[in-house]
Amino acid sequence: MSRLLLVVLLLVPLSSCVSLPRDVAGELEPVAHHRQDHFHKP
Amino acid sequence: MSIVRALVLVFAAACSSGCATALTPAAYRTFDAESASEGELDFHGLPLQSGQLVVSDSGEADSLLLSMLGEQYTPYSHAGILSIEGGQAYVYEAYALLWPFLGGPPTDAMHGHIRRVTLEQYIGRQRVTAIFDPEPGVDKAAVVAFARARHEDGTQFDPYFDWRDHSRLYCTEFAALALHAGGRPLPTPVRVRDNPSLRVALDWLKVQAPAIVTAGSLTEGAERVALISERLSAREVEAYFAAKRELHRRFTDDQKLGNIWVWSWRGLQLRPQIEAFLEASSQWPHETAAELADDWLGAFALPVG
Repeated sequence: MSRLLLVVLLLVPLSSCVSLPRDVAGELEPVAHHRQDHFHKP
Repeated sequence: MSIVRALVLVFAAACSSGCATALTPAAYRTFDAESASEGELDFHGLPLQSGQLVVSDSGEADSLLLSMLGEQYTPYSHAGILSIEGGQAYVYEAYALLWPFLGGPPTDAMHGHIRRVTLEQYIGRQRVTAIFDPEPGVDKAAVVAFARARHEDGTQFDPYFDWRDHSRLYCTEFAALALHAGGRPLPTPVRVRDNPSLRVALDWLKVQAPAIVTAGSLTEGAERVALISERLSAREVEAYFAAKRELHRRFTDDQKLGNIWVWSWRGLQLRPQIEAFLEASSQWPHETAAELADDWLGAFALPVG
């Protein structure tokens, strides 16, 4: 189990750095105009 | 599931394998038996039987995403099959962990299989857990036999949520097939929403299935026999589910994922105003969810036509 923990601890920082593809990241930005956003009070 | 959360789970699983947890019903806001019928096991006052359906909502951002995925709203996003073995309550479930990865979609790095956990462990991961007795006529012994067999043959988890291929199974697909083994008709999969923003993310995740089996479709015709929540009272659970339903109603095809979720170093998260709305909703009667959303998120009416 100690080997597993070592692998996990070493890879945590690497995984945290993974970024989304640009198109997916774009969809996770809110729309600029409140009238098109049903989840944000103007 | 966020990358960091998955890694924490890997760590926790490695550390706690074989350990038992002590469940204290008094620490729960809701730990209600809702059936007068006797069970095979009295689990802290809950009448449990092998072959019952367990459904749940973790309250996490990815759980809300699963609730929003289909055209029809479902309050629960996860499912499993209950089994009483040696006087202990267990849940069989299709479950995967996200392993460390450096590229590609996270679904490629999700690995798991049909596993067995104690009911205590299962409940501990969830915000709300409900247990349902399948409709009369369903052979619960056959249901649980299917679940045990898929556990024993090591059936893999399906990270791509493809109902058309049963060689790998996702959680609700596994539960649907188990209930079908007991005589319940297969549910009609719910169409995945035709939302372009959602489609971009699903294409990246390689989720191409046109429809999914929802936990909601498994509870139709079934009798709820238990409701469990550590944080919420039964009334608050109802209000929380009504608030989620309102979010589903508002997520029309012109909405972007970014109106509800945000990506951070912790993975997928709810936007603060959504989190605050869900938190506040439990303090109000469930009938007022739409009005409360108007106050918190802005006025909204479905477009006519």
